[in-house]
Amino acid sequence: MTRSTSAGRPPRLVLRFAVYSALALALAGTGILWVVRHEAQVHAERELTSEATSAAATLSTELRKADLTEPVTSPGRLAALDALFAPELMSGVVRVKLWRHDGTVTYSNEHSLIGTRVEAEEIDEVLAGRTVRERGRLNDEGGTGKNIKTISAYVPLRLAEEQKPRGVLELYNDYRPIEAQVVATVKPVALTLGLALLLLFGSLFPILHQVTKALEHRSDRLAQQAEELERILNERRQAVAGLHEAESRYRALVEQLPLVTYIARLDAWSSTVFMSPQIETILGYPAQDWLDDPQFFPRVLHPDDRDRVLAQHADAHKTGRSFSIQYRMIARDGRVMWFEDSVTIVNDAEGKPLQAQGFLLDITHRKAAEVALSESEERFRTLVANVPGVIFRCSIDDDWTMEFLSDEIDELTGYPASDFIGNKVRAFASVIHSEDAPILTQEVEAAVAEERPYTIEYRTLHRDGSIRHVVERGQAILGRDGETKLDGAIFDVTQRWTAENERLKLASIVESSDDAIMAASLDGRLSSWNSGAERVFGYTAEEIIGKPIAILAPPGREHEQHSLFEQITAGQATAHLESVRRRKDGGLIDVSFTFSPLRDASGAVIGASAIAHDITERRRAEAERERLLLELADQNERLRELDRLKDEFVALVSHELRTPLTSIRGYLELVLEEEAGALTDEQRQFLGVVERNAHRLLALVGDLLFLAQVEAGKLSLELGAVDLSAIAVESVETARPLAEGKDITLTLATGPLALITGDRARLAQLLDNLISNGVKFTPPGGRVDVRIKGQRGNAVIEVRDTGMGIPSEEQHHLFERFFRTAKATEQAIPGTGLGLAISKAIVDAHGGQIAVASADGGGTTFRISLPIRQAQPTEEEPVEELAL
Amino acid sequence: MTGNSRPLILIADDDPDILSLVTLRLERSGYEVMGAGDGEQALAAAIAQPPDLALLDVMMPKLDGYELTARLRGNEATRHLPIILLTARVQESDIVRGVEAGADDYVRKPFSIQELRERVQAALGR
Repeated sequence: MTRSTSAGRPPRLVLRFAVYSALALALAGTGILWVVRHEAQVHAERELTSEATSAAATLSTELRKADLTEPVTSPGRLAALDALFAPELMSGVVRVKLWRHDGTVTYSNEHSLIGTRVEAEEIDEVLAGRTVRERGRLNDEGGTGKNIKTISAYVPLRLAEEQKPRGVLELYNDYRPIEAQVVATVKPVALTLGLALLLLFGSLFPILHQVTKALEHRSDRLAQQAEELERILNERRQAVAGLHEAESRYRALVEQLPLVTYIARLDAWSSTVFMSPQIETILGYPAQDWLDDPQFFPRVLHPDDRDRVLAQHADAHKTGRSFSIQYRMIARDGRVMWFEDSVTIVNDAEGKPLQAQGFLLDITHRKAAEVALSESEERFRTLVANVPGVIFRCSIDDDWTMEFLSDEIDELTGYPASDFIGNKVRAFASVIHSEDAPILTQEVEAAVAEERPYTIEYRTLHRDGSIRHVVERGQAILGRDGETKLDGAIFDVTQRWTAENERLKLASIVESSDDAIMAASLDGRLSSWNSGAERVFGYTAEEIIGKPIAILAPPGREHEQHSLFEQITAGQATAHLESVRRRKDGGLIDVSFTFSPLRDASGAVIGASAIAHDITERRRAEAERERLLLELADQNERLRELDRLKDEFVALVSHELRTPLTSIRGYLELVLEEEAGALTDEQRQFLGVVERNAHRLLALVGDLLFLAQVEAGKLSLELGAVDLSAIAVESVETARPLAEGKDITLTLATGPLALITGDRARLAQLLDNLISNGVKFTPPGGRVDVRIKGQRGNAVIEVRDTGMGIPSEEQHHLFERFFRTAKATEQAIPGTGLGLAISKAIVDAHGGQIAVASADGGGTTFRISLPIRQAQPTEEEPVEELAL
Repeated sequence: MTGNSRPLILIADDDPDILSLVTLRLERSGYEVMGAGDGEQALAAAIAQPPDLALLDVMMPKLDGYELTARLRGNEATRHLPIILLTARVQESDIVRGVEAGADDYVRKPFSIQELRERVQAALGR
């Protein structure tokens, strides 16, 4: 309780005291008033009774006997009685009744009541000689007039000279005057009393107030003290309880602790100096046994642990270091018990090791639990390791952070499980195929939300770059730490997936094959029918499956099927059987059949597969080919004939053109040598023209014949060791007069070059062609440069001019016979269009290459490369065909 | 062989222009020349009077140069006669054929007179 709350108390308490004292005073006042009032009332009533008694005494003479035996009815008697009981004669009486003893009213000044009967006990009482008073209302028992409050008095009526009351007289008095009288008596008393009480209360209140205050103050202090006392008491109680608890705990600890303390010597046996008595309850040997036998400790040590323990003890004796060791001892009853021994080496004042003291803790149960736990773990590990899948527990986060992951993951991903635990090296998310990751997340979230297990197939990436197909089954569980985890297993289904894929691929190959592929059971009924078969035979799969395969054999060939199935049953295949089969529309087709046995997993033949290739078209093609071959042979024959004719023609041309030319040249020579007489200058000039043209004609014939030979494949080279540089010198010198005539600079550069194997005359012809071409197509003032060099086992000839160039679109045709560039034609540069064709033929015959590089208007370079073959030491014998 | 110191050369060619040209040239070069317009004539002439050298055109009517060579080689009188074939043919097979028939040399048409003279001198010098 605090000061602030006790501050509100005094007014309440004072009020209470005030109310209580006021009530007490009021009660006292009321009591006094009640007594006064009662006394006044009784007094008034007594007065009334005495009045009634006196009246009754008076009436005893006036009343007749009949007035009380029968109700008065005669008017005369009524009037007499009315006069007798006239209100004027009796003050305050408002009604009079005369009662017969049985309760019948014989008379009343209220006439209507005469003859009424009321069972009134008072009557008997009154007849017995007593007076009775009764308060009520005037008309309670009938009658007229104002129903006012009355007090009635019953008195016995005795007639004159009679001892026994004959009836009862009841007088109803108006009670109001009595009341008024009482009030008049009480009123001053009440007033005086009230005033006195008020005064008393007034003088009492301040005293009360003060007393209350003092009381309250004291009561507050008492409450505080009580509180303080209670607190102290509580503390005491708690302290006492704590002490009790600690005491009992320690006692229990000490009593139940499987801890044994000991002190041992630092000798070879660690012989015991002191051993606490608990040892007996633990090992069964009393402590004294240890003290009596210095070798007791080694004796009870488990033989397997003995050397190790003693060595450790000995080591500690030397180093003085404390240590802890676990070992087994054999109990008296033979049980093997595990102990943890914590040994401290105690040193003397000089710091020298004095003795060992230690605690032996019985850890047999702990060991057993450890073994059980490790066995259980081992069982779990073995179980997990033997499951052909990856077992995991992970968090539901972006990384799929692994809490547990079995070693099988190494097989699946090439990474050890430890890599993934807690995302140590990599997150599991990193081995999920990126295309599948969103689906996995989605499925897992849905499964977690619906609290159901899930199964999902996705791909993972192996360290070696391969993709694995896996099925994961899992379910969310509430982890011990309150986090929702995912427990599940991942199975590598790559093989199944691959096999399924392979199967689908094969099925698709079979289905898409143009060949008819079908299968039949051993009884010859078709069980499989691809779309190729539908096309080839015209039956749909629905139509034919279940029908005998013989349906496809044309009449007369049904037996083929029989022998084929005999072979199949024997496990033999029949390949490329060419036969005839019947289509649905009755048409016959040529097919090539391959029948193979179908085997089940055990290798037993269960049916046959057949591949039928429609060879109708092939047969037609074969016939066509034979026809064409015959035709071709015919044509070849004609061609051979033509070839022969051509040869003859070439020979003819050679002879028929050359012979006249021989004459022309011969005679020209005669004339020019002036064998037929002296010539004038003009004659000599004209004959020169003839000779030049004869020479051109001869050259043309020579070129044509050369190409005819090439064409006929009859070009033969007269091979020998050739000095290309020497040939080049000759060719350049031959072309020099022509070049000088056009004011063209003609140069030759030769590098060191071995002899090559070739036909000297042909190579000379080649160089002549290229150089004269260069000069021919180079405008005056330009230059033609010839280079000969060796390059990587080849002899290279380059002829570069500054001529008009060759447009690239014309370069392709350059080496064709009779091709002339547009410019050559335009500018009327003489030529036959055979030179480069011949050049290429010569180069080809030597196994070399010729190339042209040119830009329109920017000059042209011909580049020839000839292989340098080791020249055979054959006699070089050039045959000058066109020599002059 | 005659007592005449000038060697006798038989020339056979069906082309009279060439025949007279070669005759003229060889005569002017100091040879005795007898001409023949075809193979048969040439064979008859050679047997009648064996020359020191025969220049035979290959393509001649009646008896061509190859056949004529073979005949001359078959005759006792002309067995060792030096024979040079004149040919407008260029194909190797032609030359082979000539050598097989027994010719000693050949000169391709058209030829220069200088070349012919050299070959004749070479053949006679053997």
